[in-house]
Amino acid sequence: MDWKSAFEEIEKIKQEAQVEINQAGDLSQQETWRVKYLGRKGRLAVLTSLLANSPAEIRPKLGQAVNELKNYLQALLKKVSKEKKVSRKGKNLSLPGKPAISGLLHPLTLTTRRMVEIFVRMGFGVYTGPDIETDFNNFEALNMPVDHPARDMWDTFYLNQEGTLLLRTHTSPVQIRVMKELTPPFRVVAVGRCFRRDLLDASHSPVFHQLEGLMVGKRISFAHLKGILIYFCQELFGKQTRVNFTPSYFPFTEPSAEVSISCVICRGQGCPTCSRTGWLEILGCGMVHPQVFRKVGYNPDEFSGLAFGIGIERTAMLLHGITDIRFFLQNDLRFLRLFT
Amino acid sequence: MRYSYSLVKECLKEEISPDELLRWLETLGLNPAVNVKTDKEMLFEIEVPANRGDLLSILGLARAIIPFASLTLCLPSAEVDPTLSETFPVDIENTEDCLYYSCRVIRGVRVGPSSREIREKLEKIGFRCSLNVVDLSNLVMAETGQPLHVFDLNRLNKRIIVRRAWKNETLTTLDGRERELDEESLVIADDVKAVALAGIMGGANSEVTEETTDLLLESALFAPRRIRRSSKRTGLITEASLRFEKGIAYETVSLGLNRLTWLILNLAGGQAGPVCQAGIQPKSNREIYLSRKKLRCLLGTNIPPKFPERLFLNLGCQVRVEKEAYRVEVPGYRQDLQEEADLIEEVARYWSYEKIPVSFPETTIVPTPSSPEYLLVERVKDILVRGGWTEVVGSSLVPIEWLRFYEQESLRLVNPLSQSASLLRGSLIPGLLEIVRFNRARGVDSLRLFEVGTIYLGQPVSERLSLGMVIFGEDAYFVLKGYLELFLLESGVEKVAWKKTDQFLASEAGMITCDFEGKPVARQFIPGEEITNFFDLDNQMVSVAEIFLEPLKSNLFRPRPFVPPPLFPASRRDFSLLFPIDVDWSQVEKIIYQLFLPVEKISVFDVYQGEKIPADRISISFSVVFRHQERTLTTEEINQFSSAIIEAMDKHFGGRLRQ
Repeated sequence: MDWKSAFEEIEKIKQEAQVEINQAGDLSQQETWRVKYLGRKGRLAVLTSLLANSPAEIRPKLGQAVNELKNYLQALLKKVSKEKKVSRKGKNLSLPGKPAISGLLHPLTLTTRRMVEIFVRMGFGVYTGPDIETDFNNFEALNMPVDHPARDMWDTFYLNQEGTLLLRTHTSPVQIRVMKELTPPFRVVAVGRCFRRDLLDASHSPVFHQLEGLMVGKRISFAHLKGILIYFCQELFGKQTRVNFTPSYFPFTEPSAEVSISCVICRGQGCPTCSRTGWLEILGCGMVHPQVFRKVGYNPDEFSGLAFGIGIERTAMLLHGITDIRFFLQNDLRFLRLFT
Repeated sequence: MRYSYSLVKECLKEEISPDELLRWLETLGLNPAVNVKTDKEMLFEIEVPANRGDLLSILGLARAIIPFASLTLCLPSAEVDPTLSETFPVDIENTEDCLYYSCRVIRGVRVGPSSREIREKLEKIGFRCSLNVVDLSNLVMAETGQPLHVFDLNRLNKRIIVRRAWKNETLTTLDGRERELDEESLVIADDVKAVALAGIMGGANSEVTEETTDLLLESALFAPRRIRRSSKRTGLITEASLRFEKGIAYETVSLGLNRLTWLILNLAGGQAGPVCQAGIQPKSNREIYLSRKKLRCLLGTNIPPKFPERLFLNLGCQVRVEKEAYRVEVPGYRQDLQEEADLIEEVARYWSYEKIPVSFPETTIVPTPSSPEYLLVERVKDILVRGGWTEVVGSSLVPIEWLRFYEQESLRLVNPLSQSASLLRGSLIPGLLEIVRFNRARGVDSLRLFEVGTIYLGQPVSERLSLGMVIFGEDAYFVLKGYLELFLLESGVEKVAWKKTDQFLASEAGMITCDFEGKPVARQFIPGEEITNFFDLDNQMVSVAEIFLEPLKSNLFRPRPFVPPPLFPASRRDFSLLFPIDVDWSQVEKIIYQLFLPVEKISVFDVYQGEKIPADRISISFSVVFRHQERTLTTEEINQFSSAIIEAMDKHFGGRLRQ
């Protein structure tokens, strides 16, 4: 190229530079553009070197044009890099990263897994059972024949007029299913959804979840029940947790017990969560009632067993300090995102 | 009912302190809750287990604490010498409903308000006062646990018969309400009319009034089952029905009657007749065998042999100690003690659960399997969370209006709490859309949610495991479709092939479904306006999918086979073609594969519809990756393959290269 076509070249550079900078999407493309036009061996530099060899009468005019081009190109780059703000952020390392999106498990799943994992470590298998149960499995086989007053402990949703089909009120019917399917010795936990005809409030939900445990063998004792459940409570709520067993009543266990732990909020000092008692009831348990064994054809003189049931919502509420059970089925993302 | 410390003390010879009493009740797991505590008095409630009717009395409570300090029981005064010879005829229609019925005539009683002392006693433990004889019957019920009834003798016609109510028979009970009865209920009747709802509440027609002078006292043993049914049927639960439901002992019946007679004679005067009775006198003591070995094994600890012996004696049992066992004769009022395990629990309770050691079972390792359903569900959750999806958990009980969103016959609750939770969900989709609506209303503008849960079908009654996915945001349908295909591939579906169908709930665009091993396994669609309007959503922004997990169960855990990475390089060619606007892309892929070229992968990277191309055309840009397993493909070969593809597109779809 000689100085004669320089003016044409300037116009061409202007046009091409304009087009190309608009196509330069990211920083590295902009850098390529800069090198091409404004770089040490770029097109502007070529023109500048031409200027030195141009005739004196042309030089001022050409010089002015080259200078204009320089300003024009620099303005283009400045404008574009201002527009692509994201790219500039990369230069200030103190600016925040881009918001990351990840999937989340529901807090009920997280809590269930924590609980299940502790029992799996003790060699328990994990079972499930249907939500729709028979009166036999939910009540009768659990030592609550028709008209038994203990049935009032579980307000029940029925699916037929005869009352033979219902939504299980606890996961205990899985005990019956497991005992019919397996041969002792065995140990299993079952997780699942339960239903009670309770009005929805901050601590009651007609739909909730339970974890049930059952271990049957030749010489399973109440001392073992204590061993397993104290280990569980301390694994879940911390080694310093105190665990207390008091007598209770369930038709399907004998002896029956209720387990309380020292309040996780106030460490047993007394607070509103534990009604100032320092203790929180968290689960019901006991030794399998001989009548239950007879119903599934086991000989109560040969086998003994321990069983327990824990509310998963309640456990999650204590673990995370959740104050209202209704959050679980409401699925407010602001709630769900707390538990990653 | 409430309990009062002073009343408990009256039943015991020795002094006990309120704190001792509370501690003992706590040890027994009765969870006492103190209502009032002063220097001399303490009022409290306890949680009475369903099998401990005996604890619904002061006497029962006193008996329960005796073993803690070897206390001595003082039974209330109840010796009666009848001074009248008058009897009253009693008959029981069926002793299965009423095992035993006793009554007694008292004449010349002064009926009026109770003395202050009696009123205070009753009010403390939560009873309302009325006339003295009625108050006394309540007091005796509180003391002994025996529900009693007092009739105005002169309003009874000739005799008492215990019978089932007749169909459509009515009775106005003491609360002034007329009750319609049927054969499920048991009544006390005289010669012409029902005079009381047996074991639940008396009738207004035989009620004692201020004018009453002559009484008939009733103390009976009704069958728990009958009273429970009758109480459920009439919706009437009383202090009496609660006690009968849980079971009363025969001895309590006569103690109650004599105690009430004694109190009336002493506090309201009159002359008493002998006990008139009907029915059977059930043998209520039971002998239970308790082996020491069983006691040791079940509790996992050695309890000194003297402890159970003394305990059972203190509980009012007869005990015969054998070499390795106890033979315990249990009194009738402890109906909860039915077999060996019950006695073991009793030993444990009084020994204190606290003192039982803590140990782990020594056990043979017998592997116990986990259920495939559980493993499946958890695996599915992990796959989706990894893809950036958020798990939600919806309720199984949904509003009745959602009925129209379920394709198959739904299940309804017979006894729902409200219409808004009376139907069992027949699909996860409406629940997911409701969660989207809820969060949209709170300013969330982009959502990817899933739920793994049970859905319920009515015909036949069954349940199945389902996975529901919903996406809200830009390009919802295609984003979801991509993830859904990925999910299916990860779940062991080797090749995802979509079929287009018109379907329930879908918008006009229809629905795509995917089969696996001949069974439908997944479907995806843009929901139609009927449902999106219901949940207040823009249906251009939503897409949903439903996956039935059962068929995937077997493949999800199958180990994936190893395939060595290819040795030779691949070549890619991009194509931009104009297709008819309604081209079926799955057919396009099928045709390309049917050319039997070494095609490794086909993927779409751009789709355009608009001004620059004819209105009935869609521009689809896709790339095809070619690879030969045994050699590097030459440029000429790739050019040939490309031409073959372009030619086939033209032939089958009228697809032309975009200029």
